[in-house]
Amino acid sequence: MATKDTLQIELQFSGGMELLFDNQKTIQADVPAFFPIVTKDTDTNQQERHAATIRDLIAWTSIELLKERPELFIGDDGSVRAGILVLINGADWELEGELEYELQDKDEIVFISTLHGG
Amino acid sequence: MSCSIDEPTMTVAEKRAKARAVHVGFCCKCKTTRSTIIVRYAEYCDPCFLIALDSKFRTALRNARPYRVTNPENVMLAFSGGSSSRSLIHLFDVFHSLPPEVTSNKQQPKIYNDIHVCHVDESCLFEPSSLQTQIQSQGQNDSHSKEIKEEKLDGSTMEQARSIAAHYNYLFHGVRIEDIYDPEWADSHCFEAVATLVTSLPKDQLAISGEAPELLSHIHPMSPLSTSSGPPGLSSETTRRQKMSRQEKIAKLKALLAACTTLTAKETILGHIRSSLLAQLAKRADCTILALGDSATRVAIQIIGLTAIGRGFSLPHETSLESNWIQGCKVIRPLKDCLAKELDTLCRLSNLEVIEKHTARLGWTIQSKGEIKSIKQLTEEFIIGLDKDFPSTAATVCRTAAKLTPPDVQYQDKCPLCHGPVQAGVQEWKKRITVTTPPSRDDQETAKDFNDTCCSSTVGTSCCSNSNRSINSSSSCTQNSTKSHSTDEKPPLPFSSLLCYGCLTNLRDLNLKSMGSLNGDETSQFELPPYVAWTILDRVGYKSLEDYENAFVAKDTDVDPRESLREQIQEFLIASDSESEE
Ligand SMILES: [Zn+2]
Ligand SMILES: [Zn+2]
Repeated sequence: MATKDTLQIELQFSGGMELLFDNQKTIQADVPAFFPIVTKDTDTNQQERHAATIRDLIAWTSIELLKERPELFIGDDGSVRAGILVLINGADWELEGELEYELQDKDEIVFISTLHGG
Repeated sequence: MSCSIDEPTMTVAEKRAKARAVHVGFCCKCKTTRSTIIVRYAEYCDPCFLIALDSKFRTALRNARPYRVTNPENVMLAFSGGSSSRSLIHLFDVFHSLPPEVTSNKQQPKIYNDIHVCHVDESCLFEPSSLQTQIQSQGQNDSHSKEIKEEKLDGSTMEQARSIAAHYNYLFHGVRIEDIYDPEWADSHCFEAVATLVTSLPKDQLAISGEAPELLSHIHPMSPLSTSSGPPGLSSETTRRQKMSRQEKIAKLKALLAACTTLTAKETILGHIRSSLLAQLAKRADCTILALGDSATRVAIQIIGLTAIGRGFSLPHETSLESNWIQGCKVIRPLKDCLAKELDTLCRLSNLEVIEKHTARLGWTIQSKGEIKSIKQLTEEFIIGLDKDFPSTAATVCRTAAKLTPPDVQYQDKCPLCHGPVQAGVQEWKKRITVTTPPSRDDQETAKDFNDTCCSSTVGTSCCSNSNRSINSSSSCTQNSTKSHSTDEKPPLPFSSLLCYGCLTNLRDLNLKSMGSLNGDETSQFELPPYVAWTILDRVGYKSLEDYENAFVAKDTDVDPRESLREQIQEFLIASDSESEE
């Protein structure tokens, strides 16, 4: 298990996604390596945590980095909005476990919007 | 059919691909490399994906236009700037750059002669706020020449599109969307007139009748003396009449869009303008083929969206692999089997430059607190959302619609607004399902008894006597009738009766207040571009603007021009007096 508190993740945006991030095509982000496990029961130990996944990254990105219109990035189910292609180190995230993929230090995550036709 | 996890719509090829992926996580083609791309259950490595996509394109291109064809034709590639049409240019280039040994060995005839690229710049309709950010980000960079800076400042996509085409040595043709108001984009190559619409009833009666009124049109020749000259650099070689300035054209286009009350109507009309320009660009460059970059995803969205807005009749022309609808220009969609995701991947892997912001999204033109979505946007979300869980959605929709056969209609009878086919009998059918409006004002005048005819004859709902506000309405009604005699304008031509069903439906979202009225009290706040004006004249039977104008000069003396015109257009009128006056 990684002992570092943060992971260095390179985020890339294209296909119009960058417009939501202040026109930045690449962001070097220090993403927390662990996220608390959210439970309905308030009595449970708050210290419980799990290794960061893409699901956490999406939520974290939309809070920390997103400049405008979150509805164009994140969907109701906590995933990215339909029509956004996600690549993990050059591979389609569907091949890597999608939302449950555990982030590794130095990962390169690409978000491409496929919505604009033509 | 139920939504089981195994999609019932998987094709044999897909099932085979799924079964073939014996080693999960490895490419289904070479089986030795870890897969990086997944397309509808099939996993590929990067190189195998590119090969597969290329062969898919070649197959589609061959189906759209058999290689047996002997005389090579010129092809126009429509390039919006997006990843799909960007892929189109790239794939065409790969296709045409056969290795020399292949070309010399097989003695294959050239399949395409010249390849042209065209682009419609829609930047004048971009959202203003983002334009400002663009200005801010470009602000520092002042070393370039003024013209280039201006291009960049207004968010123009033209130069970027031009440079992409130049990279391939393809001939480039660029046009701005507002240029649709230039006379040369009509079928007759130079048609110096625009059309305005008038309602067949006075406005106060429209409010009461509560149904879509018949719309008529006026053709207005462009004034020979245009007030302002165009900005430097835009001057043209045309000498016949002074050209409109770019600002004037933008103002006209914006006025037309402003007359549409819904986002769907705005987008639909903009779509017609865009297609009209593309067809004209192809024809003018002597291209007999116009290739569009529509992906399977986009075609599926079109199929559902067009059906929803009442354009099912022209669906085959607007979504098929090949369409011969437009006279002298075959339209092909060789990317119709490729998902948007595949084309995005192609652009990424091949480092193809795309124009990030290229298509005008008109949401900003509607003032509203909440977010307004057009039918097209809703359809887009629907299809893409469905495709996420059921990756065969787009393909299934496309396959289903591919079975539709194009209607048997003549291109001469095209709709003035969308240039699509007009279903025979639309008017009769429409008449059966709607309460028709009472006879147009002309009939009442002929009766020379307006007060009686106007306010007592019709059983219909729209006469003013029917209303509770009878005093107000009847007075204005009489007034209008009297006034209409004194207008010296040429009698109106038909309009709504010439339209296809889809456009007729779409016109319900045109603000009636923005149109003129038959009595001339109000003037139209928007003008329809020359291509529309030309098609109206053509459909009514005039060969040219002069032909139309002379028709009234000659007959003015003895016959009431309204009468003679009325005879000519009789067949187009929706409501005829014999039927509504009982
Ligand atoms: Zn492979
Ligand atoms: Zn139409």
